[in-house]
Amino acid sequence: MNQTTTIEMTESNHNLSGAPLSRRQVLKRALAASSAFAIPNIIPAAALGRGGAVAPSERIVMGAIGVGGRGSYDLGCMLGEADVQFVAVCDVRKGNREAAKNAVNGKYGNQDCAAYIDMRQLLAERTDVDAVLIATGDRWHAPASTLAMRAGKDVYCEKPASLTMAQGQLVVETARRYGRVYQTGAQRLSEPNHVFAIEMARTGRLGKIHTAYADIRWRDGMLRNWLPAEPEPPKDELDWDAWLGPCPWRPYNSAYVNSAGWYHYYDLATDVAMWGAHTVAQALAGIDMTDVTHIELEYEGPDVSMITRLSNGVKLVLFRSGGSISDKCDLWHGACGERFDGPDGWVAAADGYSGPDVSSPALLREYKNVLADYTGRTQRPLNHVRDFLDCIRSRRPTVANPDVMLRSMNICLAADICEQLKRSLKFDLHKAEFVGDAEANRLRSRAMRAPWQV
Amino acid sequence: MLISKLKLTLMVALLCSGVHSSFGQGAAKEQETKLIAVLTSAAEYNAKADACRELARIGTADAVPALAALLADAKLTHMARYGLEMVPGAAADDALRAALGQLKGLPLVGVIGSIGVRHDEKAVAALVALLKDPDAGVAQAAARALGSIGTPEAVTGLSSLLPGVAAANQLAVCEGLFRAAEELAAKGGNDQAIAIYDTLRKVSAPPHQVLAGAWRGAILTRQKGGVPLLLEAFRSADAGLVAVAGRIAIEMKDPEVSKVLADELTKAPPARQLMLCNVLGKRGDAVVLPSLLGLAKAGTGDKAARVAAIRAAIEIGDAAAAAPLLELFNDPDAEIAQAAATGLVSLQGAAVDAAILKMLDSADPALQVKVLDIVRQRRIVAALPRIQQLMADKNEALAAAAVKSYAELAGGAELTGLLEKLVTASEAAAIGALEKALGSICGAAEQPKGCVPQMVAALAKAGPEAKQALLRTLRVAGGAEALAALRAAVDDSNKDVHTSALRVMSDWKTADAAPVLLALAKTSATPVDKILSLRGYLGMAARKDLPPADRLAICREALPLIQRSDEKLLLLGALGSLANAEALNLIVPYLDDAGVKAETVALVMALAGNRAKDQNVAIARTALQKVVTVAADTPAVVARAQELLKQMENEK
Repeated sequence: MNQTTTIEMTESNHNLSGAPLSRRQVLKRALAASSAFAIPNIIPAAALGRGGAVAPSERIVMGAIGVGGRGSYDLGCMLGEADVQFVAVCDVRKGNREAAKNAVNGKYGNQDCAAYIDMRQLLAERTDVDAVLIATGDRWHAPASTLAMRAGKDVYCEKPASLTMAQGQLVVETARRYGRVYQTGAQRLSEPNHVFAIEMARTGRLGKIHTAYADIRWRDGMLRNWLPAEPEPPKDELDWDAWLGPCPWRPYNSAYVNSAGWYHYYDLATDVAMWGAHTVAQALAGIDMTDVTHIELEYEGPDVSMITRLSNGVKLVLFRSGGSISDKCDLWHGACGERFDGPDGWVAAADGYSGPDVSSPALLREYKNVLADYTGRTQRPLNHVRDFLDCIRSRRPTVANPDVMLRSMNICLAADICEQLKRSLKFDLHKAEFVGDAEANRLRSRAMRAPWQV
Repeated sequence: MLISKLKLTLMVALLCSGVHSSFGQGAAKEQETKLIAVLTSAAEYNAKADACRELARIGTADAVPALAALLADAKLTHMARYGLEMVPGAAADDALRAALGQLKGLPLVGVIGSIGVRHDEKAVAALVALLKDPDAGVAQAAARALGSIGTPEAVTGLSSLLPGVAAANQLAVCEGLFRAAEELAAKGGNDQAIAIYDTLRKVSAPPHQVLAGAWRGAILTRQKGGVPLLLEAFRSADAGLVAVAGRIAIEMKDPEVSKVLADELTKAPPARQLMLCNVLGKRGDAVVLPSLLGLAKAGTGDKAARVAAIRAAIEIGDAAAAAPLLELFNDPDAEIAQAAATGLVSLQGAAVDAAILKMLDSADPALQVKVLDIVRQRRIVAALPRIQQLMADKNEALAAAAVKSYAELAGGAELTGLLEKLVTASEAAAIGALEKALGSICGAAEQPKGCVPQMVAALAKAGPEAKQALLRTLRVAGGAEALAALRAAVDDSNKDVHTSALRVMSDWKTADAAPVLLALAKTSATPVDKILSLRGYLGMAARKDLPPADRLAICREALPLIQRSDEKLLLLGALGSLANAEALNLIVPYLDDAGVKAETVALVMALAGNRAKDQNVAIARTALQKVVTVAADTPAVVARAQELLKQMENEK
């Protein structure tokens, strides 16, 4: 069982999306009447036979906040959805802002998209906006999500969802408080190969899972130095103060903003959580977490895997090796992998490979059945953006809802703190606090800079 | 002075270097003292900022004066709070509270936020006063902080402001009240929390999210007592409120809520039924299945509601839904039947399997075909004996569906039976399905080669069509025994079998076929066979999983056998993928071959252009010089070749 076995899927894995009709139909008539509630007036005529066209009044009106590299990719994905209408974009960088505005206007063939520098202005002025895509730098993810939901918007926010546990908790509280739909961009929770691996574990087909693995082969967010000061660009080109947001001030240097140079700095990013946010949510989704109260994190050194033990006896290995995220490894083919080991076999899934890795090819014969079970049981599509949009209409929790986000982020951030302190720690998942370690607990929060507190 | 600053910076860098190994109280205190000294020194801004960050981790009351002294420093006020927010004890509270009366603008906003984070109840009176500060940022921060502190006095301050609050501050005051209600409820003050939510429900012209939150809080905090309010919301003429109620109902954990909503299902108009189904499905209480499936089966009911009810039943996932779904599976309305079919594929459990298997005994072949599809998708392996019977049914459509299902479900245990069927099958479709099944079994086997002996034995009994299917499946299994059987089949007297064997051989997965293919390329009786074999052999030379030396050897062996341009191109492709000096040596002569000259020139140019510096210089130079000669009619190529030659002048 040591050798990774893979069978290439000969048929498309991407044609199993659950029909979202049901979710849409649910509210079709319910929301036809006028309402004091600015929930999007929600029913897709497209689904009802208008050949893909959706009347403007039936579209989900959206804004995009943070439209650089990842943001422009997400924006492109969402622009492809017929029942979405983007009306505003926001970015503190002029280049990103203008490019996104042009992309939106190009898509719709008009000049209607407004461009904002300050997200607070967009959120306050655009009462027509139902939902926002947030793909800023990591330092802004949680504060922007909180501000947006408080302003009554539903939120799709890229990962990692928060820089600290306290900020993550704010996101959860705000979503609950205002009844907002929130999806963190852990899109692998909606991708067929990953869903297959998760469901194989979750449904007991591998026996009782004893070990799960999550890929964290990334080292960043470690530096604390400042780069030499450079002259700040004009505010219209780049609003440096807003770019930093709630983080400690530091002098401008173009290396922070270009090619995501900020990744490397403690004040602006995370370390384990940077990559763990890509994988830990999937690993947890395959484990029965019902009675898990705490997790023990074992510190063995800076560049080796971190063994963590859940209180239900399952070992969760945060996998790290000397090489990069895309190097070959024995656990799976590709990057961003998760894997589940049980007495009856193992299954793994990762990016950049055609099918899941399995201990025995016979397991793959369950592929379609497992996905059909998943889509039936959850009534979710195998498409992360679509799940978010459907949930805006149905008001149901998304697959990567705030609770899912917080659980995985807290474990990632606990591992981060474990590495900072270079000692093993025990973390109470219910209380979101370290057991018997006041110093570690003080690292769960960072004071936010005014006026960017939320 | 500069040296002194540098020394300080170095000291702070060492203190804050991230070397945080566990150290005792004494060491921590010593480090804190040094960090405090940095704050009170003339250290650079970043050194002080670093010290504040570290004090957030280890600072005590001793660090408070030094940190508090920086609160009024426009540049360091944030980092001072960064430290203070985390320092335990009253000293930090006292310092932040004291700063309220001394600061303005952003430093004040920041301090108010930190007081909120620390839940300093003693600050309530001062914060209430700040609610009316003309600086909106200050007033809003005070409202949020008061909410986080959440004492009755804080609530009074916030509530009294609400009726006439400035529009710009309304949301912050509401946020404060929400936070306070949550704080109070968490401490057992449900009545106070409910009063807040009820106040918020009556706010004039409220933002929609405030109204949604107020209803949510009012219902959830009342717990069981919130059900009438939930029903009021569900029955509202305001469709948006109905949607809010739906979301709240999903959050309510009491199973009794499901029963109440199920009762409501029978009374509600279709629009509400859709929402109720949405909620009941997500809540997942099996107790409501009779209500849902009753609605689903109501033939005169609204179709959208019926489909929603079926989907909700599927989502609940209880096996008790199987029997009703099987009834609906045969519904005359295709949309209803399809929704039921989706459920039958999805519902898990042996009881569901058993109920579906029973349906296979239906007297209606059309229904049996549909059930077979469900059986196949559910992978009910226990159905194989029954499916085997149906494979012989006189109804052709049913028999074909049975073969298809059998092929997908069969495993190693069915290998013998499948082979028996294959050797006696005559219909092309049946042979195709059985071949697919065999391939699937071999592909999924832990040891695919283990299937080979039985397949080889079957070859002896099979007719030509079945034999070809077996030969193709041997490729899936692989191994020496399969290869030997394939080689024997090349000599089969049946032309189709012979050709199939040769084709499978030329596409063999492993290099052990190479010598066999070479021998066939040399000795086969017909040109076509020779070409097929040679192509298979050259295909081995292009395999990147073989060592370059082996691939080169294959190319050398093939050289004397190659006559046609097609095979020359295959050879050039294989040599090109090797990209070494020996390969280039074999490529260069083809520059004189008119049939493949253009392709060879392109290949040489690519290899020479992509060559690493100092690599294969001599042969690359020779090749490029020859290109200059043979491609004289293509000036651009000649120019590029000369350019490359010039670049090589200084190489070894």
